Amino acid sequence: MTAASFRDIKQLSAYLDGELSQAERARLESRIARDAGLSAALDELRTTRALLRHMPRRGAPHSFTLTPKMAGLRPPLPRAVPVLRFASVVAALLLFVSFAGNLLGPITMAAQAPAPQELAPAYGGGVGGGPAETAPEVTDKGLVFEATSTPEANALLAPAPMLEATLEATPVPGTPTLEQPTPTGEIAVLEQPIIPLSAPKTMPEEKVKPPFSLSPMQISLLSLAVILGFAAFLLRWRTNRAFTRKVKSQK
Amino acid sequence: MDESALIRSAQRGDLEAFNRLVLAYQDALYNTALRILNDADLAADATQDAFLSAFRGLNGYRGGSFRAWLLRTVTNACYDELRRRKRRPTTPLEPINEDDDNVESPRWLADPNLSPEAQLEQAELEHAIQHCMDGLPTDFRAVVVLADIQGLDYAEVAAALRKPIGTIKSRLARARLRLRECLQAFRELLPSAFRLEEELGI
Repeated sequence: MTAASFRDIKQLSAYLDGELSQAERARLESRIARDAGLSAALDELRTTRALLRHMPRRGAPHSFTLTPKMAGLRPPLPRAVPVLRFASVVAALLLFVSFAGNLLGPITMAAQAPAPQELAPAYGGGVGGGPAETAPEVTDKGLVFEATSTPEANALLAPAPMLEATLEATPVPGTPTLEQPTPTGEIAVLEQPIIPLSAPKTMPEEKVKPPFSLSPMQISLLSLAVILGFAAFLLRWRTNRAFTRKVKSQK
Repeated sequence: MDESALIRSAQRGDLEAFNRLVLAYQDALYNTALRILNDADLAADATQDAFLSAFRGLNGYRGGSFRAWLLRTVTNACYDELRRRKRRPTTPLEPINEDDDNVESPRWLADPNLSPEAQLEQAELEHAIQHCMDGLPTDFRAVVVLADIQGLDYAEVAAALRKPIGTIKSRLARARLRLRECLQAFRELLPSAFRLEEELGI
């Protein structure tokens, strides 16, 4: 009795599975009959194989069928969907181009015309630090104010000569009294910004309006873009819904 | 509708036809994954992944045993899972030779923390065999599962694992040898299991 080599074990294992040729099987069977070691090895292998083959089978815990979503399946897309989608995008692009034209128009025009800032120094600017557009108005009013004294200004200016007169008449030492006339001048200057505040109100309204107004063409482009886009979405959604219903009914 | 007709329909994208094939083979695929991975949840995941990749790669099937082709997808899914597990090892693995030869006989990985009573409980036939199979290198385990548990012939196992029949023959013999040695440790613990030999008349 000899211990079986791995080569023998391999042959015995294949013999049990019926995977030997007829000649190999006959040769091995005659050896097994003569060799008790081979016979014992065959029995052990047979037992092991039988144990493995009698392992309990575990069934699937749940169904592993695939859903269309898992399989990445999608319903065939109606031909109208890409057409509608493309038309919607074109309408949106045209709308964008027309908007860009509206915005670029005033800029190019402004570059050709004299800038409002250039006018300000002509009026003797530096009166106020306000926006360049209102500067001419401010200087205008300022000039008018200084030229034609209103009754209010007269009332404010009135004390000045009186003070000056009293100062001249009674020279009292002390600096505070000497500085009193100056406020009258300052009041006149401070008044200047107050008056023009109401004046420029109407100006921005006229200038802001044009960029936000839509031409009939723009309105129709916007409507087209929205309607076509929505139609594409609706068609796609309805196709998907019909597809999932069909799949469910098949299940 | 016969299997080849279902396969042809499924190859054209008919999910319903493919799902009929799924129902026919899901037990075999799940059982294979369970025996290779020894984890019910991971086996279910591997089975689902296998069917998904089978559907996507169905045009790659060029005839032959469809069962072997499907079992290849599930063994691949199991290998992927084992590779992931290896990157995050939880149990030290027994070292093996690269050429699969002259490897020290694997000992079943007995848990020293378990009481003898608990070990006795654990030593039921199924657990004992699964335990011994877990001690095998993955390639050996896959051969045993496909050949002995799923009952594939050598040609089918070779197709499923993309190995020559000679390799399958060699690995199966070595795996059985190792399992025999491993199961001998259970001989006293599992008298009923070894009585099976007589009951089966072998």
